[in-house]
Amino acid sequence: MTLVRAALVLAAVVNGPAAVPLVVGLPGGRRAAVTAVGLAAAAVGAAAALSGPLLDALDVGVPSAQISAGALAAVGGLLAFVNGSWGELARDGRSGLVVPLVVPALAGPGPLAVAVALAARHGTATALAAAAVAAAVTLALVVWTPRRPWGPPLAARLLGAAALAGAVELAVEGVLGV
Amino acid sequence: MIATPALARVGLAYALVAVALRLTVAAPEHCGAEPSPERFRAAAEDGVAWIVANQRPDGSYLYEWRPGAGASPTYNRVRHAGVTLALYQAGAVEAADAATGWLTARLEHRHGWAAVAEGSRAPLGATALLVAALAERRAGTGDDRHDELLRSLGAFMVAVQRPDGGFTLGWDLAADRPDTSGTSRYYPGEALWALARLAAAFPGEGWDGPARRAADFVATRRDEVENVAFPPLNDHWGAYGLAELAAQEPLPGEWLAYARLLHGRFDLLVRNEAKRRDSGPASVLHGPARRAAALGTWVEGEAALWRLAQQEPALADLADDALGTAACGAGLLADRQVHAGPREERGAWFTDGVTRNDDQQHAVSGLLATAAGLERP
Repeated sequence: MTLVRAALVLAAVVNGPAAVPLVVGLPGGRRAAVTAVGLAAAAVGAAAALSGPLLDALDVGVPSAQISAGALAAVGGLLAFVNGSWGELARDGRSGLVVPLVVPALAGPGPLAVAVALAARHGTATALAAAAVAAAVTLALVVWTPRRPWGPPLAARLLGAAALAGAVELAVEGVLGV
Repeated sequence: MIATPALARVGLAYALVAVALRLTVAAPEHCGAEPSPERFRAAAEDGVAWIVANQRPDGSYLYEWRPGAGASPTYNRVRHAGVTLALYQAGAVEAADAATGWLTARLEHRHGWAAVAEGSRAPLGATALLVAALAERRAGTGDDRHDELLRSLGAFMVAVQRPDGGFTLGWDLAADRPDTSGTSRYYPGEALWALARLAAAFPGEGWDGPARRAADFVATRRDEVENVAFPPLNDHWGAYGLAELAAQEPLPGEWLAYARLLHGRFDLLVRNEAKRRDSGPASVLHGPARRAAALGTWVEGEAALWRLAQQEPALADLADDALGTAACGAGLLADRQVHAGPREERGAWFTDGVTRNDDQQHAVSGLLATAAGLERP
């Protein structure tokens, strides 16, 4: 998997537009969104950097990690495709920056597992670079997704479908070991 | 925390999937006791001791043993040749020579070639593995007494090679023509390796052409011809063959790409085997341990791909992985070996209460090849 494809898969699994309903309730608007995406990128980057020790501690090999990451990415992709968002605002119209926006919306199990698998198979440097590119793509999508009622759900569903395709590629890569 | 029903559903879905993954795909992998070449060589020696201790006076082997039921009356000459190969690889020349004598007394000679006969047919696999065994003997002892026989056996393999580089099943001795009644998934890999060994032993005699055609067939067409459902076929003989050819000349990119896929297959098989347990949820979810004949071939395959990666810069990145996976499989083999009991059991590998001589063959070959890899500086 090339760096570009890895970044696109990661961006699809993170699915910024699916988090837009949560971003809307943040005090601070775009600045807060930038902070949230930055924190999520840091979490994903940390997962990539800790990939080796984590898999060693779990006694899980690289092919298994890739297949598992594909499964978790597929779950996220399917949920985004069906729901069109990672969640809605609470009744008082507020949202939380770290919870639930960063975790579990932007840096959920899917993106973290994908980062671990990418680092295990392609190296930490590649995974970190992919995370950086994915963060930039996510921020752009969060900021510029049309704020029409149909905008974020449509974008989220498209990215959910892309995440499903990426999940299959990850799992196949794990099965074939290439 | 601000929780919404949607987020709660998301969290629950992830949690369920994560638990399912931990029990299945991401289950812990245990590769046996700490891998060491000394432990692997000791296990191989015990396996060889089983083969030799149970060898018949006429040079044939104990084929299959079940405690309480005794020896099976069946026999298989392809496996006889394979076990003989393992003995030569282990340096047990005297016992291997006795087995070679048994097999060479059952050769069919016609049309300028020689082949191992079994009933009304001469199966290619038996001849190919006999060539590999004798080539191993030649390389290990420097003795060229079987050179003419090797050339005759090689002529048989060339005679049954198809234009596409694949092979027929062997020879139909009754009809006196190539046996085209079917094909074999593994004979092409066996023949590839045997022909490659002949090319190495007798340079300039023309064995390299058939070897390359066989390699091209195995690497680019065999899986499709044999309708392998989820390619690549876990063909350790093919891995042996490519490693042997790589020692003689650089390999084409297509073959190296195939070798990379083959590594992925062996790696997946060994890692899945490392998840199996005798008790607990894993014993239900991952099934029983595979027999040593299967696991041993995966270890052999990875060890051969490690040797290939030492010679081909394009595959250098998978060398450590391949040797690591081989060591994982070898560790499992060493853990599963029986170390006590009567001579029909001690040193053997049992599955479902039975051991077969190719369990010992493939385990010994895999353990020795892995030990050699770990010992290399």
